[in-house]
Amino acid sequence: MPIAIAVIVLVVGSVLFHFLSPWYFTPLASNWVRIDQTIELTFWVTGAVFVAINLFMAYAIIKYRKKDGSKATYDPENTKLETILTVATTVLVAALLAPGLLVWANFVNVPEDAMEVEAIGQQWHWSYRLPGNDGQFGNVDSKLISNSNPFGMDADDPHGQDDILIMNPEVHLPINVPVKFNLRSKDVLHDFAVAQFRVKMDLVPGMETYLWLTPTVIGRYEVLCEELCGIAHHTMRGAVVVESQEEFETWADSYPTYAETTAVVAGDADAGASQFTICASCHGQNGEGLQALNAPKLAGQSGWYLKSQILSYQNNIRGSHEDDILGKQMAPMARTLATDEAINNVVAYIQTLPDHAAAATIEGDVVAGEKAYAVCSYCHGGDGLGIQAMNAPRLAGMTDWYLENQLKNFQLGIRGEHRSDYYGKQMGYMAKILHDDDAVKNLIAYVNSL
Amino acid sequence: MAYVSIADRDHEIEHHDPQTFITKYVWSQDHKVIAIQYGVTALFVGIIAMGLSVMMRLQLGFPDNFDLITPESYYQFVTMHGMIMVIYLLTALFLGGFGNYLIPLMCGSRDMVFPYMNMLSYWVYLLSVIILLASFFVPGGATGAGWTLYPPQAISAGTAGSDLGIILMLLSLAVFIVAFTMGGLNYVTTVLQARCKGMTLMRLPLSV
Repeated sequence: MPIAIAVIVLVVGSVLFHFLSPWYFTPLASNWVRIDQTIELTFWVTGAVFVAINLFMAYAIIKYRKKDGSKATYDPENTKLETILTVATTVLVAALLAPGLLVWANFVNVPEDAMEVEAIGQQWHWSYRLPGNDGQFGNVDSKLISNSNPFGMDADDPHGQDDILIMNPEVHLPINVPVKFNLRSKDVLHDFAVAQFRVKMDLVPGMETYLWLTPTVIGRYEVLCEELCGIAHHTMRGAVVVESQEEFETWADSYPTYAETTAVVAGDADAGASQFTICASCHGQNGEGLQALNAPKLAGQSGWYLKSQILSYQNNIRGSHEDDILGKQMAPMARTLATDEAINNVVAYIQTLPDHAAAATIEGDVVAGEKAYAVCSYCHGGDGLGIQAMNAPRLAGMTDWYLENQLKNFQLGIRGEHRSDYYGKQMGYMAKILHDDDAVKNLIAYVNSL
Repeated sequence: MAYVSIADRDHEIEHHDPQTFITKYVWSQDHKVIAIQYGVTALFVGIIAMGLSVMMRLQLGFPDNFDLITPESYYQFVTMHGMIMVIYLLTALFLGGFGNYLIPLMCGSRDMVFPYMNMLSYWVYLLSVIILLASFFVPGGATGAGWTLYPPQAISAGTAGSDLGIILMLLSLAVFIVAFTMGGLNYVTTVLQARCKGMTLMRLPLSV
């Protein structure tokens, strides 16, 4: 009897939970309403079967409970019952399978007129490529991937010259246009997934996979990597922004084509020298940094990182948080470099400056710091020199009080919380591993020893 | 000397039941004792896996609050919890534990047809468990590649335990496979060959 009651309570509770539950599907923003319908059908079939079977079981327990003089009927075979159960189960299972198969057929047949975008996954960033005016992607090869050619473009293929390379985890799409995402991985398994679009697909190294959808609602949607790809898998985020066709084209034009990236003229260090005099007043004549003015060492830092940070300051991605007082000082200084050429020149000049390791001002337990650094080493390198492919700057030999400040800023969200600061957001997650000031000091003491 | 059961000629061979504690409960060839050994080992390693799941829940409930739980160690917990629960607990408990205990009973046979291999399968399973637990203590720690252990992620630098951890994990799996192949052969042969008179295949309980 108690078991029968427990079963009935289970059924009633489950049904109530379905209607009173505070959880719901994240609102659909693509054409894949059939996926939601399939899930609903599955729910109704399994729900009905669940309720029916459990209530029947409770009924049987109560009706046929042991009473004095009760005897079980001998009923070894009941062909009619077996037939009914087999047929009913088959019909229900087919009902569960069929919609899924139909939606799948829809999913693998990409519409003829779909525009194409390529999403490239690597540990632990997304980047994208558009086919450009000729509508065809250029050939790529993993063998060609390098720091100067992160997309692995084949320079000999004319179709690749106009491919638009988007070295940013954010991609834009025009609304109501079917789009096919070609998915390619540079290293390990990843998975490109946007919850609101309902479709997702693994990125398999060595394979080209795809998914397609038609975005139907304007908005900004988070991309998550949904296949474990290493220790920073949970930080591998991006965004898909759905907007009007004009806004999409404006966005696409703001990124260089492959031809433009190869045509970049190396910065002129001599021209950069005169620009640098403004920076030197805080950062020092030799870019060695000045703690009294809160200016970190620049000499020895990777050129690509210096450039990306200047651009971040100029675009208000960095230095715009209300508590980031020092960042707010840096932003107008970054704007003194008015053109791309000016930035390249200054960066080229900084790279000619002598690089002496900054004096260590922070003390801590180097052994504990080494343990903590293991996680950091995957992106920043075991030697702390930074890895461009991971978008991780050099740490070793740089000003340690600045590293401490930045780690604290990342932890508090003063740096990295801007919507477009994907790499900063990643650092925020990673910085939170250090739970207190001592952990930070220990880590920096270890970095100082590198 | 190995004992071969021939139904109507038992009296020809001197059949000694195990006498000492060791032969009765440790090096036993009796399917029930072996089943209990499997069950106890599986549950023990399952409790370790449960502890790992508690660590996972601590991180999810109170993110970034515990020094021990870094991204590296979290993925190690995820991987090892998955591996242990599915393979070393579920497979071992259900197939090794319940299977060994109930299959001879459900077929009406006296014991498994290969009792020595049955015993061996348990000890090889125990060896695989020891190798698995050893992977926690090697430099680099246990593998953090997810319980599907996909290459190249499992051996690439951005994953915990990508040098020794994954090697021990795979070694442990290989040893486990040896143990369960032995056990599996045993079950299949027992069910096909050692059913008592009148027990046709269609009359067997469904779970056999």
